[in-house]
Amino acid sequence: MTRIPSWIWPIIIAVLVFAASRVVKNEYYMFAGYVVLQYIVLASAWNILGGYSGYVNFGSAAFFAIGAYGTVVLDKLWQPPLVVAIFLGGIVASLVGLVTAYLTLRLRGVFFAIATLALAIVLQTLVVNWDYVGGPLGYYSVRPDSIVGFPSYVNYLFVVMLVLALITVLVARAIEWSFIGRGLAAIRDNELAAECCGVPTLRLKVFATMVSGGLMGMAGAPFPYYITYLDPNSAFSLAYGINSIAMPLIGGMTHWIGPVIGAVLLAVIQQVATVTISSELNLMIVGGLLITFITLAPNGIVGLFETYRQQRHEHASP
Amino acid sequence: MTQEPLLDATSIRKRFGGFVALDAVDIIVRPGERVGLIGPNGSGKSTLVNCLSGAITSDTGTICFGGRAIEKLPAHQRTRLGIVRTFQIPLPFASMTVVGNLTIPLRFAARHRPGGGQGESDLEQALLILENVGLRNKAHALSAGLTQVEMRKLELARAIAAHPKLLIADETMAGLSNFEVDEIISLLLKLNKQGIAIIMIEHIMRAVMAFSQRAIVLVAGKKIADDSPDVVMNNAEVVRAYLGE
Repeated sequence: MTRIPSWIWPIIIAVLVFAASRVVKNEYYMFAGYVVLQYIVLASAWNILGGYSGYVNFGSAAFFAIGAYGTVVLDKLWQPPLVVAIFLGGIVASLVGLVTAYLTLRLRGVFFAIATLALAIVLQTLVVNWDYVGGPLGYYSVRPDSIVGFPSYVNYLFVVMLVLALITVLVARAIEWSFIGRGLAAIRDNELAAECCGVPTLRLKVFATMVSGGLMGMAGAPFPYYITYLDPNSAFSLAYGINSIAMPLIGGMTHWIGPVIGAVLLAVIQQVATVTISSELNLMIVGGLLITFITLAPNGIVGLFETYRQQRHEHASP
Repeated sequence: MTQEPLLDATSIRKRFGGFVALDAVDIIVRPGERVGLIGPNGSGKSTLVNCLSGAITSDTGTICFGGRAIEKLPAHQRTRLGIVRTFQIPLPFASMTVVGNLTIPLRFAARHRPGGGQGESDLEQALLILENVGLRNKAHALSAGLTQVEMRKLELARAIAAHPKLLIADETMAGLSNFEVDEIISLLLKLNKQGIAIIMIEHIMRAVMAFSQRAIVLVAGKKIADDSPDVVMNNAEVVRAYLGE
């Protein structure tokens, strides 16, 4: 079978989006597109743990905020290039993932979910009481000068997030297709059976948590420069936790493309609703879509597509 | 039989709160041996299986496998060493096909054995095993849609795919018809011929008698008999445990 390998498509689409970012003059599209891309990273990263292994992480905001506040600290210290901040944010977030994993992954099901929710609350409390990064008042980060080769700093942030999204999608796909992905799927189906089949369940779960958390941290790192004023409420916003669960759920959790579809769909709807109706409506839209999908298509859009394909296959060869 | 034992577990104890599930149980299995493990409900058979396979850790006692102390090892490492179990209630990987189920132990357990991961591909090996257990025609079906008998065969096939030296079959035949029981027994005998030692946990006396070279009886967490099946069946204590005074 000489098919085009599926990893080509994300690269092609990323290149097209980059080309579009060179042509489009209206900055608003960069602002809006940034959010969509950021959610592709968060949703795909969440799915590496939550979708592949079935461990529901409610603390996406915590990992995101680690990246964001990491940048704040670096900004106060020596204003390194953004890439350095992203890299460090990713490392710190994945280390927090490591610690969280060892503390919580022996918990199963709903207890793990509650533990991750607690992580977000504990970290937010710490940040609120940490005056160095602004405490409850927040922190104003001045955007650096424009980067050579980019029309504006916002355009630069957009491209950075585009690259991050591409990396995340490719990482998620690589994990899904590797033996690690097979092992995580076995854990999701039945952890005891997986362990008894030789799957090192704890090690795989820790790995997934570190990769997932690290990518979320990387997504958070450019955020202070995007929003220019960062306070605990925006960094630890409930929207991150909920969206990064809702998007894979709506798109489909067993395939790497699922979170991407869910993120694009939901984030675009939210952006449009924010501009045309009101920003308060966002979470209600998420809620409505979630209920619709959980009742009508529990395996998400990808699941719908697969059922359709299977039925056609069965009709073709009875 | 003076061979070095394959499995040598001594004074295994396990308490759940105030309940003593296993009280200083010893069990030895020699390479290639067929052992039946019987006992009334709640006598500790499954707890013993769990302790041996690593699903739970015993409170005290030592477990040696192939001359190596394994009582502290997590379950997946014991599987890789060659202690492989099946579950009383089949636990298939429901999102995967039947073949997909087998690739998990082939990739995660069998490859960690010397000589593993060479020769045939995982898929070929999986199909061969399915051929042997009589599931070849279901190879690409989703495991969630199998019948009860097929699930039990899959459970066995998955264990075989881990390349066991010792297979612990936990009530593989519960709820099966006579014909199906015979099918599973002949399958287990075939595996045994290939040199795999087998512990069979079973309620169906006929199956245990037909299969085992040695029978071990657990009652209330204690081992009360360990001998050839004929001798065990005539043991006064065993008769009392099964039939009452």
